[in-house]
Amino acid sequence: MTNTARTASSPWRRLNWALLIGMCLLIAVGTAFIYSACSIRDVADLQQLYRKHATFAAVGLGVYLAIACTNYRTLLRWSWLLYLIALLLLAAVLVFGTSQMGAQRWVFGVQPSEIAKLAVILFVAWLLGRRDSSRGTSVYLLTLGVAAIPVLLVLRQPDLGTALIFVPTILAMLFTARVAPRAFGLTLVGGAVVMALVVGIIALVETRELAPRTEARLRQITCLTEYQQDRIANFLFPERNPHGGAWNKRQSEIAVGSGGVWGKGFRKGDQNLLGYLPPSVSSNDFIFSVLAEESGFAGSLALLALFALVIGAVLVEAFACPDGVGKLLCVGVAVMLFCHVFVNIAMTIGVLPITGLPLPFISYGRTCLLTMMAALGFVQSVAIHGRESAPCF
Amino acid sequence: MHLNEPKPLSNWRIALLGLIFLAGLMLLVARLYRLQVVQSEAFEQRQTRQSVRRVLLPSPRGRILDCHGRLLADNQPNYCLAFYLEELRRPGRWNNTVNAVDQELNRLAATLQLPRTCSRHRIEDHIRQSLPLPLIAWEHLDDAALARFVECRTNFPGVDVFVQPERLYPQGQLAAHVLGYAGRGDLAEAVQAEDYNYHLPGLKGRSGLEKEYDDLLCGLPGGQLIRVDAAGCRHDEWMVRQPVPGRDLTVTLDSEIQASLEKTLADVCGAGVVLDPRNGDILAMASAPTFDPNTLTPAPTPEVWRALMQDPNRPLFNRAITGCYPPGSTFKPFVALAAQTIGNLSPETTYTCEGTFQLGNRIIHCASGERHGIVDMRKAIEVSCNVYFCNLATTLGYDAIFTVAQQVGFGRRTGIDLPGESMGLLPSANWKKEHDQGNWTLGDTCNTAIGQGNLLVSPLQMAVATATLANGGRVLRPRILHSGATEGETVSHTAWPAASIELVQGGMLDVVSGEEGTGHRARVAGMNVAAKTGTAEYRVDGLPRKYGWMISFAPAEAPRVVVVMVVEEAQTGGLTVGPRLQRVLMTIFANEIAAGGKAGAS
Repeated sequence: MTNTARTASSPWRRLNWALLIGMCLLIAVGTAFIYSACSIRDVADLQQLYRKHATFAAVGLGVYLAIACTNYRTLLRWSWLLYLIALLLLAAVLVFGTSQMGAQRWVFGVQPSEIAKLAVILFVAWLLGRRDSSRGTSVYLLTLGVAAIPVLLVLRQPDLGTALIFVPTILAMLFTARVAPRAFGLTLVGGAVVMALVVGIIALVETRELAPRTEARLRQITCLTEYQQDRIANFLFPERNPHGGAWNKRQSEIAVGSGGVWGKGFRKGDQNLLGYLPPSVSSNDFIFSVLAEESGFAGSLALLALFALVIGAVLVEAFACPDGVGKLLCVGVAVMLFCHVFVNIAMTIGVLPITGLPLPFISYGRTCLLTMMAALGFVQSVAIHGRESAPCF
Repeated sequence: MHLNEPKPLSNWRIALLGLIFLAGLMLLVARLYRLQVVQSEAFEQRQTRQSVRRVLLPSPRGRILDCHGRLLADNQPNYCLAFYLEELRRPGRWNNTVNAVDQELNRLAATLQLPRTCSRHRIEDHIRQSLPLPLIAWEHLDDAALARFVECRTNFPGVDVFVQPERLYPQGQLAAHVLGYAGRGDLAEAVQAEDYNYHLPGLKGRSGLEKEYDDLLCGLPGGQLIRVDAAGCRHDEWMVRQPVPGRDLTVTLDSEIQASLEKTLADVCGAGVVLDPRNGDILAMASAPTFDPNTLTPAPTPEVWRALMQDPNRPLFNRAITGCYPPGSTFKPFVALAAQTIGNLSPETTYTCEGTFQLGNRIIHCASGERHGIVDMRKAIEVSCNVYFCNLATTLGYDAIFTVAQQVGFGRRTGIDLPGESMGLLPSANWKKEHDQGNWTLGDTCNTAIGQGNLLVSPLQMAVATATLANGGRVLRPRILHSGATEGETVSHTAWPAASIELVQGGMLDVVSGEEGTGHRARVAGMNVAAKTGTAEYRVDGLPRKYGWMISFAPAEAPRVVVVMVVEEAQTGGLTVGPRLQRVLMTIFANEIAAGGKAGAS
């Protein structure tokens, strides 16, 4: 895509086709493998999940196009409002949310933590990206604060995985915006130390016979729930509990591994069909296992290539966008996307501990799908409107 | 652009992010390569191990037929009703499924008007132990119950008819000891050896031919693979090896002769063997009392088993090959042969019988206190003179008797293709010493010569020895499986002079047809029968009892059958066994006797 194309008058001429087509392909792949994954569900409603996914993709496409056609500068002026709404919804979840598998994540049929991710990216991009934004420590702290409120609310659900997504996203945006480099460096070091401490404590508690009081004290220091500690421990010591929490991880690895180079064929994955991959997770968090089993290494590579295409396209827009808000917006979306993809796939192949993170566009999950599509809609808007004059910033 | 605006955000930071992303993706690709390409096979095996169960399928058992092709052992279908739990599965705890199956069982019991045979406990056990296999709820459904089920089968999803092969002995008790029986076998060894997870019940030969030829009869079990889902229910199945049916066995038994032999022994304890002296074919073999193998397959009820085990006459015991009896006077023909062939004693040698033979302070009587006067060898066989044979034996010495007895197969197994054959006992000086019974005495020689003392033989050994007399000195290996070879297997040749054999055969002919013959009750009109009677004494709880023996072959000029019978608690061999032997011979030669009668009439 050349700059001459960008400056042409019609928005369609400046559309980033790679972004749009890549996204549509991902959604198509997702729908197909949700179909495969939900075919063994015993409830008729659940067998139709792939239809819901496709339906919401259609809705999402509308949202996407609407956002893409609107100048993101106009939209981002209202990012504080979206941020507030997200905070309200997050608070609402804690008050009257519905729970599933030990965590309260839904309210009014939506998962506010997904919306919050996008809202924080937009708001932070607006905060840091304007030409008149200061780049001092005060803004740095303000940004951390803006991110910290939703993170704390999400942690209360508790949803460690989603909360953790905020961290690299915000850090990458701060890094790109060159805000308070020394404070930033300090934060990085501090964060690394905290992480090392938490993992170290859990490893210590698991491997050593400690006095119950000492153990309880140490566990308290980590600020993690028992369930979250368990997951990290299961990851660190896979032989610890082969039938309990590690079942999903083991079955997922078997599914991926037994897929081989070319896979077992669409809707022919034994791990999926025979229910070894629990049907309750195979269509959302573990959809990659289904895909990897049925389409093999070739399919996994193709999927990664598609994600690389989309994320790459987002980064290209970040490169090309002349103003800071657009750049930061694209960086935020790229990092969020990448973190989802990386963490989700890494956990299904045993590289990272199991956290409940969906695979964007592929996993079944309405809010997540809509949010991700909206996020790409903003990037598309940057592609279309980025070269227009930027009077407001 | 204005001059005072701050520097635009630098792109190298974005490029750095892109590099980090690339590194992350590469990490994923590397890990995926390891899982899906390098270790793929190992994961495939893990997948198979957790989801595939191997099931051993028994093959249809071979049938057993007699020499005329009549069925002696057959298979019949056992119609069962089986519950397929994967179709009755209820969500949630297994208890829900147990309840559901339990209810279905009650409903089906009411519909079929059958009492429930499958307890709730068994459902639970089945779910725990062999979930992917069908749960057998009813066995041996009759036609009425089957018809009722077929009518309403659509109301019972997950239930179906399941056919198990079962052993049937269509002739009932006939040849029970020879056939033996096949019981429910745990093919546990095969299961372990070939790494099977489950096996369907098969049959295993427990005694007789069923045991001896179990390898041939049982064929090759098939193998089935069942894929189970995460809950352990059957998902689908496929055959990896079709079961190879067992071989049908044709045996040398003739069920008519067998039936006749068993009938004559029906009221006593005893045994009989009918053997073809030309090739060793066993035409009939009976042991009384007998049993019905149908009651023992697939497994006897506790009552049946207890009754069989507690019966003092031991019906399961095959007296024909496992029973050991002193042969009594039936041993004398072999002593006569020993005298001629090894002792070089002339058969014309005579001894005078005054009714008793004194040896030291022991007196041996002739039967019933008879005095036979001057007897030669042939006469001595006819009248079964103890005095003659004691005299002969003292002259001859025990070694010669031992040698001939060993030649004809006493004291060792005949090698018949049946399990549980006993060796009998052919005593010797060494044996006696080893068993701390002192030195061999002349008394032992005399005792053995008249078939008493420590000498023990089985009816089958006696039949083989008699066949040696009948066929001119060939010691045969008796056989039950019809091999097709007409010759039979010769264990050894005795190299007896024909004249010696003829003299003994003549003496045995006189036993039946001679004026004073002890076996005249076995006479068959129109047929020359050669025989020797025997009566051996034994004591039960201090009271004297007698074994009655008869060995025979016919027709005497060209023997085609050897018949040997022994009856426990007999009066004498001639009295008790003679008429029985006659009936068996009449059956064997029924056709010829009828034809001969006609020829004579015309």
